[in-house]
Amino acid sequence: MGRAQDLLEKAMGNMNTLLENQEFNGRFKSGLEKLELQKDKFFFQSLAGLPSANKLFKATEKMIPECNESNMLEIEKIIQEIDDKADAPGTVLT
Amino acid sequence: MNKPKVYFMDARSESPDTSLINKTITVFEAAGFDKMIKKGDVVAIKMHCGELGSSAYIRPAYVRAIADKIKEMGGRPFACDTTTQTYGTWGSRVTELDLIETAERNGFSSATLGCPFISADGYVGTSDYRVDIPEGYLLKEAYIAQAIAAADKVIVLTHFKGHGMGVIGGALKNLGIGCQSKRGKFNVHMGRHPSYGIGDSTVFHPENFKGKEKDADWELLENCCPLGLFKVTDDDELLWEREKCINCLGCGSWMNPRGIFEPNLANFDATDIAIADGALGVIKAVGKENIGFINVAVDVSPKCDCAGFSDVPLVPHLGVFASKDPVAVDQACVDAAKNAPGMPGSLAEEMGIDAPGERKFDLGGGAIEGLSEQTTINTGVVNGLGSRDHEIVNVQPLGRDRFAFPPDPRPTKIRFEKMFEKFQPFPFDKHNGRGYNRLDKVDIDAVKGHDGPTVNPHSHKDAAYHGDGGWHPGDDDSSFKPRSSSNGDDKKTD
Repeated sequence: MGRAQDLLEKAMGNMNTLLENQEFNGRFKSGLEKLELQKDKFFFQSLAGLPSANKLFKATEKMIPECNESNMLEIEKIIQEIDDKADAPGTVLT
Repeated sequence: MNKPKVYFMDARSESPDTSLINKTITVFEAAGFDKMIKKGDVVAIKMHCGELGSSAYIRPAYVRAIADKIKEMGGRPFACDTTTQTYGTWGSRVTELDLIETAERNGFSSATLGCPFISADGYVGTSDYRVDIPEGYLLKEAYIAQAIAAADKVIVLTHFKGHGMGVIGGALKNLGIGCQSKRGKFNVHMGRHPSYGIGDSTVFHPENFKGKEKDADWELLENCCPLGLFKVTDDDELLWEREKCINCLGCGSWMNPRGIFEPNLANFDATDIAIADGALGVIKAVGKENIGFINVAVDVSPKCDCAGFSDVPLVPHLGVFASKDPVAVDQACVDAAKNAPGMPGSLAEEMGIDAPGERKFDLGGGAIEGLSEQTTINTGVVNGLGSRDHEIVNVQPLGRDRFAFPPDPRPTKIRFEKMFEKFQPFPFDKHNGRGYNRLDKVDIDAVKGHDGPTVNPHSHKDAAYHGDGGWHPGDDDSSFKPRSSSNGDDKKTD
């Protein structure tokens, strides 16, 4: 497994742990469903998805001790970014 | 055996002779490139003019300074780049016409460079010189851009940065890709190679094509290939004549994100190896004694100048490096980047490689995981091109008097005294010799605060300018009319 996929898996692991929080349970579920669709794509197989995976991992790490709306919004913003970027052309090979 | 020397000046600058452009000339001389150039020599300056949209490519002023220096030595310089394979769907340097137009948009022309800018491999990219390279690790021949092979001397002037496929974009890549003709580039990129070519090694998943209705860009899947090897049938089936693929890389950015292609790491690694062999081909075509390398390691963007955009640099400016050894000069830059802290807010930070001591380009430059910033360099050691092991020579500034304005290097009094007597630009005859209508004093501190001024703004309705609570348009000038005056009714109000 590549570095981006590995970090994404860790972030998703954190989100699974955070499902225990009743206040945000639904939003984490929805986020996990979205990520499940993206995780095997080239975006995460390549290095293109590594910054997003890294950001998401850090945001979920922050959420564990500080489970609040502001941190939740940050996580949702990154998931939206991943949704937007994952299928976009533009892998720069040259 | 003596280690090759790499002449180095850092990126700090606090005087004209420590400007990065003048430091480039300083290391040029320290490395002995001035002595290499003889009267009458035709000298190619190989640079990268940047794909349309990129902004970190080398500034024309560096090339100009080198061209001026070559002329000073009696040489006849020309600057050049080469045509590209296609690399993408909308390449801006694919033909000579594209290349010249892009170069001009990016600021490279005979007017700015003081010498012609040409496409070194002709209109399409088939003007070249074939050389055998039996020492090559993977390639056994190379096709060198004609104008470079024909030049008496070559200065390889490189903007050092990262690269999606090559991982680093240094002197070796400027030789191994940049000095190859288009035909030569297909060779280096492994076009039709039985083990490493895209056509032979990529895993093709046509089942991941969603069909015309679900993919608004489906026509681009057909139109991204210069040979027309992709076809979407009426039954929404994606066909690929893979046996004809020449590795132009035009399709990757469409096929990879859709999961239609599963890229093969070996294709990238093999290309990085071949870059060093292609570089060796250039040295063989030109002669080791006839070529010098300067790496300008500033704006060290993650991706190459051929990408069409330039991200925040991975590391702060590193400086200028010059050597007769292309392997040593690239290794010196890679080492400097490795030892530097990552730039805050850059990809280095996002990738978690921002600490000094972290390799910056394996993840920061490469497009896919598993590539190494050392592959091309190490291959250059194996094929005899040069040495990783090197000695850094810290070069001292030459003094500011060496870098006067070239068109007129005389000091100020000699240049302007007579002219100013005739055409005095300062109005000494006005305002008691002070020249201009200005207030004697203003509250300076009132406009220095970060959070805004501490005096009230004036109305702009009539005032041409203001500053002391009143306004004074044309105090002593009866011909003055406020800007808002359209019917002659405006009156002074103070």
